[in-house]
Amino acid sequence: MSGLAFTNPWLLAGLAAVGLPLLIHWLTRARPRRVAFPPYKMLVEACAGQQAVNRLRTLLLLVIRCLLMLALALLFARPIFPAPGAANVPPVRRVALILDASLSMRAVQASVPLFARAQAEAADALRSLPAGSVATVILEGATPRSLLPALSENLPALHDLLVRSQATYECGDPAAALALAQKTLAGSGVIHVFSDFQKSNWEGVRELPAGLACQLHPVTTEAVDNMAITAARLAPAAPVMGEPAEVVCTVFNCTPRPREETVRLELGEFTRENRVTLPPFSTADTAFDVSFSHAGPVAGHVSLEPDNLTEDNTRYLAANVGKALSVVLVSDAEDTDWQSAAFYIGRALAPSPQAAPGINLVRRRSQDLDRGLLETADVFCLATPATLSGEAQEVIARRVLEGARLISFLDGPTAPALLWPALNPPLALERTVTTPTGDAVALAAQKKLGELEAADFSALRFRRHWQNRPPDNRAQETWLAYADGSAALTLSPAGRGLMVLVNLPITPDGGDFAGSPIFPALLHELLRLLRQDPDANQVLPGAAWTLEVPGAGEGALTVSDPAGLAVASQVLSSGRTIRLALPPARIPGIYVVKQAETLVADAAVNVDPRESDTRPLALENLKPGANAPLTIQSGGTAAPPGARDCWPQLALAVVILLGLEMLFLALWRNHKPKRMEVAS
Amino acid sequence: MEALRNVRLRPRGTAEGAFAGPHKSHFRGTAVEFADYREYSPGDDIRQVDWKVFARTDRHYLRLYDAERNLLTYLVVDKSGSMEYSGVVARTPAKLEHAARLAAALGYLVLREGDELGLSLVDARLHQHLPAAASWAQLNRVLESLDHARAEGKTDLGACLEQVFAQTRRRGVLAVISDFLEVDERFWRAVDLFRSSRFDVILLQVVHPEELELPAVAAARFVDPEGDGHFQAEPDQVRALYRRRFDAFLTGIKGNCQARGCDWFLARTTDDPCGFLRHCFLAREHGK
Repeated sequence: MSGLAFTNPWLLAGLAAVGLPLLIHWLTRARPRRVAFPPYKMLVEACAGQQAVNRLRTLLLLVIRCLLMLALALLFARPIFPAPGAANVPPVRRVALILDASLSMRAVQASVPLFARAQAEAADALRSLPAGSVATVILEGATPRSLLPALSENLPALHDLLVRSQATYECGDPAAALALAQKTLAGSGVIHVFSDFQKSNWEGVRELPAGLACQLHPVTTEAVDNMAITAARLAPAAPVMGEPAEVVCTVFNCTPRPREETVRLELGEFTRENRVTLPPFSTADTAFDVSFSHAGPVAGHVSLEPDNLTEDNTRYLAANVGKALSVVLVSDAEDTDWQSAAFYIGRALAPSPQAAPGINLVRRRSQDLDRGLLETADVFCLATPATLSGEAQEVIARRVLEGARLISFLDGPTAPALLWPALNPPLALERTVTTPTGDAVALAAQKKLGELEAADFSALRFRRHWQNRPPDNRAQETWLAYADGSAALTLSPAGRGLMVLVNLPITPDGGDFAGSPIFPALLHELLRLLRQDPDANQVLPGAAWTLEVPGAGEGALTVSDPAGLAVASQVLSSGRTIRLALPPARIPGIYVVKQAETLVADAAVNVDPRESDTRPLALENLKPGANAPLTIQSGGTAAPPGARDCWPQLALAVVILLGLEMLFLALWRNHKPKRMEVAS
Repeated sequence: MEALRNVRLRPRGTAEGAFAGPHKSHFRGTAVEFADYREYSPGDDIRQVDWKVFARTDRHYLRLYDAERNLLTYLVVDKSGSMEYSGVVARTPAKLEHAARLAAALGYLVLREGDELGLSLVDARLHQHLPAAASWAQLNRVLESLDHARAEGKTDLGACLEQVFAQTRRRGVLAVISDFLEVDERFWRAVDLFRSSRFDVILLQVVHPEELELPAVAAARFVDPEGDGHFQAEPDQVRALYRRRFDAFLTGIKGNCQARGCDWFLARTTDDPCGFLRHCFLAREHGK
């Protein structure tokens, strides 16, 4: 029986039913009553032989019924006998069991969680190891971890840890788990993998470890029907009071049928529902318009009705609503100088306080900049001519690297002074090119600047620009470009911030751009783009993360997880904002930071959207490593070569046993001798 | 007793009682019914000489008349341990009690006709023997004996009948009331002994209905009331076989009785004793 495997080993619990006929027989057996019976000898003569026959019949029926229950239990467990040659394989003594504990294993199929199936199969494999074997169990999550630090002979302890393990909310990393198993086995042994073999996780595994036999135990052969919200983002990521914003969420239909779902938003004071229709195995976006009337932290979630995998039916949102966007416009030109770019930029951004309620624009000359202003600004807008001091450059560059935004208008001879190596600009200004008739700019393919289209830019002409040549590896950062290949507008990440370089002359002598309605629209669209948080919704369970909170208040900061449990945190830096280092998030949800019982910040931790795609990988396409035999056990689709699935024989045995029982019962009940009539 | 008002126990042969009675006998006596002539011999009562015959034949002949004698009835009641059974589920009077009622009713019938009644209580041996007598005091004695009888001990009807036969003075009717579960060859030889002496033999077999069908219990531990054996069985499973065996047993007894010219009646303990006896005697009179 070595190597005998079961497709549904947890159903072997049904073997307990074998005792059921015995129990019923024992409970319903007749309690004999003492009877002093005169025709005793006659009774003995008539029935002595028959009593033995009756006892034999009862025993036979009991055996048949017990065998019937045994066959039924085995039938449901679906045993698979190994290939004939498999019996000659020497017993395995070094084994690594990889148990997929990723989020997708929390899916429920046929009322049983996939993780429970995998756990049962792994426990079965562990129990079947011959004495003297050494083994390890690796839980595959975002970071694979061994239940015991090394290969252990203490299989009972390992078994105990295995059955007590739980599925995580993390995204699985099978490659890392295989690598850990390979390292633990140190070149010899067998790796057993118990997983749902999600395509989204396993397609990254190009080849199984070399020199180690691998046995794959898929716990399911088909995708678990699943609906999920794979993304939810607030645009802008840091809205301000009264500003129209929207929550865009992406719904994924991981079923082979079209679905129509209701998406529910609960965010602050908003509770809204949208209907979304999705074709099979596709995604669709749906948006909710929101606007916040109060400043401060706000949290909520979007959700779907629960299904087989409930954990990805909810996606959490957290944002800090600001009072206004602080924009510092730096230019050395006079405020009233209509020949300067700053004149037009200032009027385009905030023609009046009423026209742009969400923007607090402060204009300063280079020499008038104070540190307090620079430390609190959200967006820096630099327009030539501007000759910033070294200290101002240093503060602005640091703020941008920490997350602030920067827009630099590069025109005129002082433009190169606004390209700071600390921010790693994507272009280097070479020389000024003047064209009396003007050059056109074109919107790069697949780039979208709000409602502005490529045709809107085709009518614009620019009489001069700085010639430059962005490197090929950063070409995707160019949004507008001149015909000679020079970048006219770039959007680049700079540390945790964003930087926009505008190589367009704004002043009237450079073209008619400042007078065009496209100019203010472009400026506001750039602000919107800049305010997108590139790190939004990227905190995943199982990964260490950092959180920034305002450092104005007094008292210790306490962080608690969605379950209300305190989370240990470490202060990385303090100042205007305090940066906290947090351990890997255990569960998804809203993590809140309080200071003296006052909510000062919150953050959302969401599950990895890759875990929502439950479609399995075709295991036959998985490439075995060199000198590493690959077998696929149970799972129903692919048994090891030569292995024999014996459910048909068991089904036949069930039918035969059932028929035998009915036949015997019919024969023995109908066989009644007729009474002889004796006239008195 | 109302059922027995018009019922009489009539012997199939002649009566041989010591006293005059209502039954025909082979004795010659002074009854009104002419029987035969016999030549006179010295010593005969000359009042019996038929003078008309003498006138015609000139010889002396005596007129002979049949004598009518009373009947001797011997009751043999089995009081062995097996007669104690009164049922497990269907409770009735015990078999011995039913046998006593039958014997009492039968005794009343006999004494009412002026016949003589004797009683023997038997089990493995002859326990009590009341010689035949024809007084009502005899009925009291019989009833008292039956009242004191306790069902116990084993059965040996053959030996007991031999002892009863040894104590009988004249032939008559022998009524054996028993369950006949232990009858053997010796018993039938004893019956043959009575029959060869021209006894009219009646066997009244007392059975409990549960002995015919087995008790209606799911399982039983059957024990032998006259022995040490025990046997566990589920009556439902063995009922058919047992019935077949018991039917064969009854058929055997009935066959033996028919072969010997005896009467055999099956008396269930649920039957009314007087009604049962009326049925038996009517059947005897009609030769069934």
